Amino acid sequence: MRDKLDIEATSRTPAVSFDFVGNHLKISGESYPEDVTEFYGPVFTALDAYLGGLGGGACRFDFELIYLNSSSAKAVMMLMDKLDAAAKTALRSMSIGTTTRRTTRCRNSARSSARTSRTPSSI
Amino acid sequence: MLASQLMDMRAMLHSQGVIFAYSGYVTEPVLSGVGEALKQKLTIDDADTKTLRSVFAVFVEQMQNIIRYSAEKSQPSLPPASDPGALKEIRYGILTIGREGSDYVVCAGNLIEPGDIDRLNTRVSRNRDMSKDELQVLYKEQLRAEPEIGSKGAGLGFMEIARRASKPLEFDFIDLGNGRAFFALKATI
Repeated sequence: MRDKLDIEATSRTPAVSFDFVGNHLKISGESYPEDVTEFYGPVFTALDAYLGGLGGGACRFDFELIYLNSSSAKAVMMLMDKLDAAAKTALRSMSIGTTTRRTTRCRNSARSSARTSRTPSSI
Repeated sequence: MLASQLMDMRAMLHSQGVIFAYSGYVTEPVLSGVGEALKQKLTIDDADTKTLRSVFAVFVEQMQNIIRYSAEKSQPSLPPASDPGALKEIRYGILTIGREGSDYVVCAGNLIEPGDIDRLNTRVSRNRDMSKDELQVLYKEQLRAEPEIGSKGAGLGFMEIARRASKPLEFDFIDLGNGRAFFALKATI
């Protein structure tokens, strides 16, 4: 398994900093790529491999996404589903700490302006 | 006179409150470039963050809709692009961003197949007629739904535009009778 996945941010794609050894994953910036599958495909692949081998370990995932186009929102939803699935599969009790700071006040702005940290921990 | 021709065009756009106008082949580099200029302009205008984010989001969704769904192909007389792969699905459209009073408006138009009029009409009408709460619920449902076959995006574009808009979407079709139709969409933020 690889140690990390580092993808530099571009004007239209987020920075991806997956430190698999340190168990600290982060995705930050803006996301409106031309081809969402092309960008997020390798991210999903790396994440799947990591979560598959995580076992009872702890992991911290920071989402610091300022803007997501509709296609990216779907991809990030899939990311979150993978995290949920991994937690359930491990059958461990999770404490998910969520810090949400909304930069815009709107019930519709949802995840694109949320700053979210998920910190699952094992017993 | 050349100067007066261009000034007239500029004046016409200005009189309609248009800040940006783009008419041509809508490609990803165009989206990037106009997007950057739009961000700077919105900052200069001292637009509040929510408005800035919503105008930009609507702009991106409308541009990406054109890139994906416009039916017009490039003319053979166009100079070759540096990346032949990008030209395979070149799409033509028109997009304006402007002010109407204190609101921002983003309008987009593109050629479509006449056979797509009904489908688009149904879809945009549905999104226009939903309340914000209904849109929010359906949006979350659709985020988890399977992607449409052949779609490079998530098929959520119109819903996202409707969510961001502060007024009901306005849209219109013209069947040009030559195997082409024109679809126009206006979003107010």
